[in-house]
Amino acid sequence: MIRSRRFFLKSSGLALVATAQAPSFLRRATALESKRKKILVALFQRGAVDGLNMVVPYTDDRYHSLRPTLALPRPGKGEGAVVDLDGQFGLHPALAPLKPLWDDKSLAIIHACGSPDSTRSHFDAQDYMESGTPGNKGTRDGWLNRYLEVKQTEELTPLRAVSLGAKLPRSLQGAASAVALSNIRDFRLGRKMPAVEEAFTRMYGEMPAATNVQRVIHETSGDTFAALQLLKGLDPNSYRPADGAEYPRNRFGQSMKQIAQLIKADVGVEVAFADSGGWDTHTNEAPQLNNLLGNFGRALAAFVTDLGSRMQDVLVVTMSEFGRTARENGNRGTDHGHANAMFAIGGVRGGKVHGKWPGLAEDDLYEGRDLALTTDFRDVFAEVLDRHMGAHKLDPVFPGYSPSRKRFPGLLKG
Amino acid sequence: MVRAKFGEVQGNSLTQLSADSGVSNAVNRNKRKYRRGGAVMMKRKALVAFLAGTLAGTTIVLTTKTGVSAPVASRSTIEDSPLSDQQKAVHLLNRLAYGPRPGDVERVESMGFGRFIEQQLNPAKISDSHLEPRLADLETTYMSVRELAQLFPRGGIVRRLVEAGKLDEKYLPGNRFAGANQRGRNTSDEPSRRENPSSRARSARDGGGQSGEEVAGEEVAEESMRPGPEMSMAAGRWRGRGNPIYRAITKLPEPLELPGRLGRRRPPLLGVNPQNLIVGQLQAAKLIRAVHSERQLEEVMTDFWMNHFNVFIGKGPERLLVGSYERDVIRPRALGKFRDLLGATAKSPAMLVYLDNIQSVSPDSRFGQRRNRGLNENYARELMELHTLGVDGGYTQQDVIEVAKVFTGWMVPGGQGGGAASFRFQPAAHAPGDKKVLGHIIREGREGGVQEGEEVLDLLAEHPSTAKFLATKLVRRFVADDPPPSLVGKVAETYTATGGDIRAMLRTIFYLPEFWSSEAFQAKAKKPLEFVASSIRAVGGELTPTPMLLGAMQRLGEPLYLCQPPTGYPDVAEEWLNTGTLLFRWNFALGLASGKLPGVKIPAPDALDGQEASAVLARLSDDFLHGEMSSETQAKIEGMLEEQLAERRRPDAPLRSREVRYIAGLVLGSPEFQRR
Repeated sequence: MIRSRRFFLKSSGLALVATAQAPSFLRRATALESKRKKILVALFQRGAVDGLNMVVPYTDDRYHSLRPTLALPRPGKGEGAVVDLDGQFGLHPALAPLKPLWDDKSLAIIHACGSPDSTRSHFDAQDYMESGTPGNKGTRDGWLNRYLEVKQTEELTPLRAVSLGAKLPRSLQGAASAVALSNIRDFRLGRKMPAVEEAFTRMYGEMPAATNVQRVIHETSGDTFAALQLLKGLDPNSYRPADGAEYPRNRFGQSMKQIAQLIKADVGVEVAFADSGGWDTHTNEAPQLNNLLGNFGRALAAFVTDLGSRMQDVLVVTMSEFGRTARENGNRGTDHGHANAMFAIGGVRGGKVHGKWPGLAEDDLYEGRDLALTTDFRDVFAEVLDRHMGAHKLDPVFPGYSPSRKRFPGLLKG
Repeated sequence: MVRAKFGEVQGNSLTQLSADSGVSNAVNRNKRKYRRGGAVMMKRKALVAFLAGTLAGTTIVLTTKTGVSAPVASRSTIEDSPLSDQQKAVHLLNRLAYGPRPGDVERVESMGFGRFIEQQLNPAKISDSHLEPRLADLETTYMSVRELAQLFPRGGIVRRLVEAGKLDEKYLPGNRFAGANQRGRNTSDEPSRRENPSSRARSARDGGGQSGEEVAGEEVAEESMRPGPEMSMAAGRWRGRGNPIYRAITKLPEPLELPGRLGRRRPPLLGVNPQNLIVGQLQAAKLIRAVHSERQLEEVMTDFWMNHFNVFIGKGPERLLVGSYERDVIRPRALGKFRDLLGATAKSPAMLVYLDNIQSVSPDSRFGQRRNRGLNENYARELMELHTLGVDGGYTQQDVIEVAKVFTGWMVPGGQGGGAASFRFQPAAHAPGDKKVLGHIIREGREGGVQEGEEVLDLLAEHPSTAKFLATKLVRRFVADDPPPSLVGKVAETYTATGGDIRAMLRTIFYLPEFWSSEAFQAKAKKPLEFVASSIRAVGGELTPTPMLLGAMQRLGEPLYLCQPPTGYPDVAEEWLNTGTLLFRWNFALGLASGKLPGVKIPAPDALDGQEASAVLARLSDDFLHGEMSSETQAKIEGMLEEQLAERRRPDAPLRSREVRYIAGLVLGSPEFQRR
């Protein structure tokens, strides 16, 4: 079981130590960049965001009657009114920072989208969305990792797939190498001892690689030293976002900021992942959602501003495990539902709400309570991988599904 | 003192040691001396040899509990091994235990390898009296599910504080955005801090059968850990300083009525969701056992079966269930008959909830007709794919459906609320009629379906695919990542011959020539639990887990009890070693050796102060790696160390303890220490 695809330095890590800033690596990564590598940023709203209050079907009277206290006012109808998009849908007012993206057609929305599985368990639904196999719990790896496997590239870098967070998300778990970073600053070795890195480099450079386990350890160490070099000098504290972009100071905002920093540093990032939490609004939803969406929208808007022209290579996709009940509950909140809305930001067919709108009439609701599903999330992911990332053999990425262009929702230009 | 007989080894070993001997005491005494520093460390080996010598007079006769003795060839198997005696001892301690502590290698060498194996195969005869006091503080690990459910209503303590006007209502479950203890929380999930009862009732009415669920079991392990010297920073946070809920509790003018001992003793640990205390204590107990239990093989096998029969503590009410699952279902059967283990897991609330069997209702049953509910195949599928036959074990989708029907009605009282303490068969959910599983007709149960399930479990346990599947996994754990089919065959034969006796299968493995081959030696990568436990054991550390340490398990890739997929954590090198986790191992090693890792007290290496770098490296390499670092590597590192130190001061100056600790960190972070 040799992982030939791994990025590995034949010269072992030793050569790295000689060159303090390892410019050769940066040059290599820069060379990569000139080939216009496409980048995917996948964002997970954990806890199930209330899609009906995120992208509001404000012309639907049922929306207002189902949610006596939670329904947002129609555009122009006073404080907290939705931000009109297309005469039918509107953004939650806290998402106003995203309106300019809608206007310049770099924001596309897909509504009534999600997992066909009926589970209302966060655990199962997140698992299904991340494994990319709704209904099948036995899948060990995630869809993004399988993408990395399917579309192997010549120039592999240890930072090809990066997740901001302590733990590698299920989406990125699997055979292909992916790195979890709580913070770029944390990716260091023995801070107070400058000699530490050389010591480790020498130990691992000298080790025999005769057996399988030795090979795995040796190759992984090569990746690790390379990643250490690539991240050296990237201090998130001294990073200045471009064009006055201001990221929220919460965890998600800082994750987005660091993803931008990594992309701009040309360290070879192809897939980036970050979590946003707290969306499970069973009680007293309105102020929470206001706060959460405010931070979420500002982080996304700052990211786009910060990346500037680099956004032409970048696609941001948001997801959440399921939607929430069409009706509000007795606690001014909503319970676990079914279909939801997703955002795609970048080179998209923007300024449009994609997907068939199923309506909120009693008979149109899924199991009489939730927004029905008209687009399988796998069709969105598959279109993104096919049309943005250039991976055309997607059967292995979505086993048992056979992705087809006919089912693509048309978020991206074909 | 336990008197027992184990004929095979008796003649082999001159040194007769009791299973319940003073050895561990001796080692502990020794450790205390070591801790005091001075020259004791240098004399450790001599001391152990001396102790072993004094104990030699004690005649203890061991016998195996099952009466199945080791194969006749066993002694020569070990003798014929190409490994040196030191390597043999290291091998046993790495495979049957979580690595050697100071003195362990010498102890095993002197007691005899066969005797060590037999001792570990019979954990009930090993005194673990040193473990108990270490676990005493972790009171929730001793509680029944019912007690836990009563003491830890979701968000209950927070709610009571709010009701008492002692805490702003923004800290109520569900309102967490307001900022209580947000640090490190947002990564994986902001869980549903449960709704109040009326909302819950509503969810249930709406058909949200899983409304009691949240996914944030990771929170406890989620507390961020910074590598290296900053490790100590995070420790205070879990204890609650800076946590407004903690402050509210501690500033109360009069004691708030909090549940039992917790209210008096441990408010700092409550955090936002009191149930996380249970998870934290459970994780702490697991680490303590891995490091400090004398019943090492029992711990290794408990972990093995916890992964084989995986459950995820972040799902629904599993926080209340998993402790009892491990304590009452898995550990007591970890070395027993597989069929017992299988049956006990099948009836455990933890498994019934995790694999959704409690949701499974036959459409033809009374419940099914009335409530328009259906089969859930999840347990049935994993039972065959992961627990018994293996994925290619010869079952069909139709078998999955039939097995799912058989297990309809295997439920727990009260659904998955809080008090799911025990198994109960619910006839009204059970599928009527005969079922056909793997070609066998399962007759409709006269006693209402429990018996049908038992029959299917018998069928599966006796199936040759099961023997092969279990043998493969055990050989993978104890011998090599790619189990040679011939070995698997031998172990599977033992399974069949002994009616699925786990202890007998292990004994077969431990006396296989392949187990003792040079190819098997150091052929496994340590998984994170093994790395953490073995490094703490290697330095003779005393463990009192902190949230930071538990968080380290997450950063290393193995947050305890938090494996989501039913496959359990994997057991091959490729799955555990990646860029981020290897770096974190290095930082963990440096942090541990520096003595600043919160939660681990290590003896001061004063004995080595004043020595030359080469002598220190040689010494520590010998202590932690037992000769496994090649002399070439050692020489290269020595050269480098001397250069590095020379740059900083006079070349002949003696090493300071900080430098000694640095070298210890290098050795624990070395490639050799990542293997077992």
